[in-house]
Amino acid sequence: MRPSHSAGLIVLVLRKMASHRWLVLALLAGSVLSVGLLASIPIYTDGVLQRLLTRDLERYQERTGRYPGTTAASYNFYRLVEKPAAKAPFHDTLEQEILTRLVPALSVPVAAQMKRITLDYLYDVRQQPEESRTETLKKFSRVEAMQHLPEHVTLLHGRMYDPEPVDGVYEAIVTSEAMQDLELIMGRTYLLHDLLKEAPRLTVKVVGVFTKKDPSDLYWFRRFTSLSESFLIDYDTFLRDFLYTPTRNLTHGTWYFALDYHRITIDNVPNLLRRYDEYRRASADRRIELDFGIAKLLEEYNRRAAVLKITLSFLHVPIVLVLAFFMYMVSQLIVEGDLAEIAVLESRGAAGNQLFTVYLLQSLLLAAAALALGPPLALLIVRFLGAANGFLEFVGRTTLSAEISLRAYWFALAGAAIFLAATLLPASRAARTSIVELRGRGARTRRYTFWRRFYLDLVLIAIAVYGLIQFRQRREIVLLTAATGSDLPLDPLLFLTSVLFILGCAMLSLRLFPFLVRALFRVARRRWSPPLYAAFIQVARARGHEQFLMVFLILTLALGIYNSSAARTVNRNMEERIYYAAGADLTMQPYFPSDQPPEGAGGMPGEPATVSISSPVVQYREPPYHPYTQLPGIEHTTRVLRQARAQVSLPGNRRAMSALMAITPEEFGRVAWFRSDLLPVHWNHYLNRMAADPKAMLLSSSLAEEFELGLGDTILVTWSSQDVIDGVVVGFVDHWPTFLPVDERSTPRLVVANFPYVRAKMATEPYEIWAKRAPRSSTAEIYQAIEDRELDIESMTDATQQVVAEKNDPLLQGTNGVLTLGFSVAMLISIVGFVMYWVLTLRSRTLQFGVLRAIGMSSRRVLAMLVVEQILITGSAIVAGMVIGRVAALLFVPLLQVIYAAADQVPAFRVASERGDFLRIYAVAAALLVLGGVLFRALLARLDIQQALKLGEE
Amino acid sequence: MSTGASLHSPFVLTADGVRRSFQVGGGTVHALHEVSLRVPRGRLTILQGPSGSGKTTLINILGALDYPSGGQVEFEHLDIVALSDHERDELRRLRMGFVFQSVALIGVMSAFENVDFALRVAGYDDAARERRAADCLSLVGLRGRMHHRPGELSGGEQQRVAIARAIAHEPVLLFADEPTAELDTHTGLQVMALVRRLVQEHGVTVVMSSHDPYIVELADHLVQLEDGRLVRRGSGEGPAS
Repeated sequence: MRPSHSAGLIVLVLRKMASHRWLVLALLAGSVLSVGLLASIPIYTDGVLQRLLTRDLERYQERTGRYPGTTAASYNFYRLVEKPAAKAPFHDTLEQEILTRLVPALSVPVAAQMKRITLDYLYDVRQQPEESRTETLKKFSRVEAMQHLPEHVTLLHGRMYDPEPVDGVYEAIVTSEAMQDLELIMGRTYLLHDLLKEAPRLTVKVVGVFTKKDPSDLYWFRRFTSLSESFLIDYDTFLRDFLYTPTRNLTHGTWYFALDYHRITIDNVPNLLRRYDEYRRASADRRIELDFGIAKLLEEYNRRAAVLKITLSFLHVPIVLVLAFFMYMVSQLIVEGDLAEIAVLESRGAAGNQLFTVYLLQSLLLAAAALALGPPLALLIVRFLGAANGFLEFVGRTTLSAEISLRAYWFALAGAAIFLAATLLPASRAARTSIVELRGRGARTRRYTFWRRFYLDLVLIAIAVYGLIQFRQRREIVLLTAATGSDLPLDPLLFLTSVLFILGCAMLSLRLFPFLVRALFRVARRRWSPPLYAAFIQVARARGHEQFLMVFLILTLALGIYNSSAARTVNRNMEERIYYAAGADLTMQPYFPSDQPPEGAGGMPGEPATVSISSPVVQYREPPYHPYTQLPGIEHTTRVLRQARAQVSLPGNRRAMSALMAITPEEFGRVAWFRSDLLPVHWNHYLNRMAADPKAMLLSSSLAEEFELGLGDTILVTWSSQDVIDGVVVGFVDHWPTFLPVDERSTPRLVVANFPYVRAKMATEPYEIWAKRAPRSSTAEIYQAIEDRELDIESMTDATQQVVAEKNDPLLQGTNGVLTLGFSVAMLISIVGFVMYWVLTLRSRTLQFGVLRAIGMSSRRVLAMLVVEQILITGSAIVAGMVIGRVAALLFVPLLQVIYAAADQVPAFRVASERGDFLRIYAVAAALLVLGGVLFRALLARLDIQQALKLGEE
Repeated sequence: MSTGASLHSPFVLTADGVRRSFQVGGGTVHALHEVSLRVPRGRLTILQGPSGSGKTTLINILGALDYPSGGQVEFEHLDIVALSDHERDELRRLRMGFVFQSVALIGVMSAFENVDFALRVAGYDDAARERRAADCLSLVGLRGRMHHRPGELSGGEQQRVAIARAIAHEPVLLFADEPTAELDTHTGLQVMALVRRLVQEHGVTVVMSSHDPYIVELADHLVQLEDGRLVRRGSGEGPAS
């Protein structure tokens, strides 16, 4: 290409872009959004994963008390005891290797390191001090040296050792534990024997007692108590006299490193694991022990990370899809605007690919802009996602660590590629259009879009239905076998299947829509008023861009409804599981003083292993209940006695072990959490029956079935060495607060009795206090009150806090975030698409409006015509979107339970939806209709008939 | 002269001192200066003049599509400038017909439906509408192609459909703004023959604009415009038929 030619081309491209500036702007917005969205996937995923990693590592520290990055390599020189001369070279090689190869290869900065070398199995012989008999006592001990020890200790007594031995006596410092355990005396000299007789004895003198200078110093890798048998001497002296001097002492060396775990990032985890694994395997032959405490944790993390990455990527599919549609539409509009020109150019001999070059250049320019603007947008998106707490719910959470990584740029490139594909498709088709075909366009025979010709809609639905059947079968299996599901809140494949279903249905409804309108038209056209007639004929026959608008609206609403339903169901079931298992908002176990020694006293009633009737009755004293009822932020309280292993005697001399729960029905109904659909009739009926008779008891259906019990049967219950109480069966339940009817090992059983009755009959037993929180009460307020009033609580379950903790789960959070993002983007695009469609339609039909006005149609009637069109197009798309979304939710959301283990499915999985979500979605739909109306009014008010008519002359 | 349409007055429309100016940029452009004319009943009046002489502006004002900046327009003794929008809509709907240079048929409707739609707007009932639409399309010679959409018709055919639509509701006055401008000479003459026939045989009063000297020959009444001013008011040199 000659320079002048290419310069001309660029001018042409720029001029073209200027002539379509609004569309080009929309295209630019679309491209920036798609690049930003795609780039946000890795940024967000990495952010969530980093949060997950940090949290896992911190939990590890809480659990084990170890610094999470601790790594240790140790070697027993015992093997070299026969070849003392080999000790030193081996030590040097090993140290070299660890310091110069292993540690740098892990590529995580080292926060602290320490080397410790030990002489093991030493003992000294002493007289029993308090006894006059000459029995000797062997006290085992170690002589150790830690590199740089003096810098990290404070001396409590005495002084620091002198490095050099005097007359073969080594000076040593010890911990106060060692002073105690080894019964040492300051200033005294001890002769230490080695377990191996051939090894030389050595003499140590205790000159000081030390402790850690800084308790949080990472230098102290080992628990301080592990030094309670150690004499610590100078490190260099140790090396010189026991390593470089060939002695036959048993030696042991350990190199400790604290990898700075804050610098363990998702990027270096795989490398870290690989290096560790390599080195571990390589060193196993040489009997070098490697200890990397968090290896398991990191492996588990790595697995979850892979899953999370896949899930989050899949969740983005619908957004990307809607965006691609959008860009395709805008590009199509631009190309159509140019179509006449293109055809003329072609007939003048411009080659198709020259024209394509023009569009390619335009798209490349936009893509370049998108690549520049997209990644910063991605950071904003990530911030938005990080704040999502539930579907369309946001909280001010600590922001995710977000930076634009290399992976983000790869994703951004992918976004740009999608953009190019979506925009160039219409251009490539247009480049092949000749003026002859263009003329034909006006005619009735219009080519159908490719998805219509290939029945893509039906294909998609077929795939989705096949997937649906597969997932149904899987659910059956999961339910039957109580198999454990995955830990995903949303199965990515299932999600994708449902998206395909929605897409297929959206396309199918587009295929059916014209038939419907035409059928309606045929039926009623004779009697219709001109506006209605014109609107129908317009919608039935103009097969144009309204299809895009309809696709957006249908997809947005369907996805919105489906997403909200999926997210709500996942969140709601998580909450319900927690509340059901907990029983109530707060369940407290007050401390019951007893006559038993403190260890066993007031033990959890849930775990008394003492079932034998002969065990002595423990006398409990009941703490005052009243203060609990007066706690601020608590609405109601009730006392609940729970006994995990009660013995139930049934008619016919049969016996069974069962859990027992004693409740005060009226209070219990107010306090306990229960879902009304879990029992055939409202559970108040059961509570009423309980309240009617003190002896009334409810049995789990498992008991009833096993022992063929009926209503009115009498049973006897007892446990430990309590008296026997009798009860009358008044009902059977499958579900009851905290009662899990399914268990993999045994059949759970439950007896529910009246608390006052049990209390009157039995000796005092520790009971739980269940509480219902007042709406909007703060947890801190309740906890503070418990502390202030000095209520002695042994344990407490706070369901609300558990829910909060669950909600912070990165997977759930990510799911909620992406679903919310998807809905927001789809909504945004719908609105933009809507405005664009109507503005362009109205503009392109100005002449028509002018004609209608000229032949005497009043502007009110023209407006009426547009409103009818709007109802037909927007309205039916909204209805279709809602119906499709509901159907998809009903079909697919129940399948979300395949991811839970059967035991977790209590209470049974239920599709949830929230009226608030629908209201929001409907509000957007209504806003669109109103917006359309406003647009029309504005347009018609400004319509100048004669100007409109002039348009046709151009 | 045919039909007894001149019950009231020999003139369907009179314009008196019509002025029209537009605000363009900072200044005022005067499109029409004190134009006065009378449109004789049952005749073909042609406004002649080069582009930009104000023909379309004048037609729009006469046809109640636009308001004059000054002056009076009376249609059948009705001061149309003083009418409300609603009354003007009704006037156009029932008593006037329009043909535009830019054919301006509704693309999604067939030829028949285009005519039928105008009749719907004018309030014809079902049976009358169908008969009348078909008759009008026969009149313009397109009965056989009446179920074709505008895209499937030639330019001349489209303009003939537009004429059928404009006369379907039996207007008192038919306005045609450069109806032949976008047609080739031959087709243009065909359309003009139709217009003449409407005047001759059906007594329709027509006001049309044209810059084509051949077509101007066909006028019963010629009004020449130049720079928004009336230049010469010819009358009655009918066509050489």
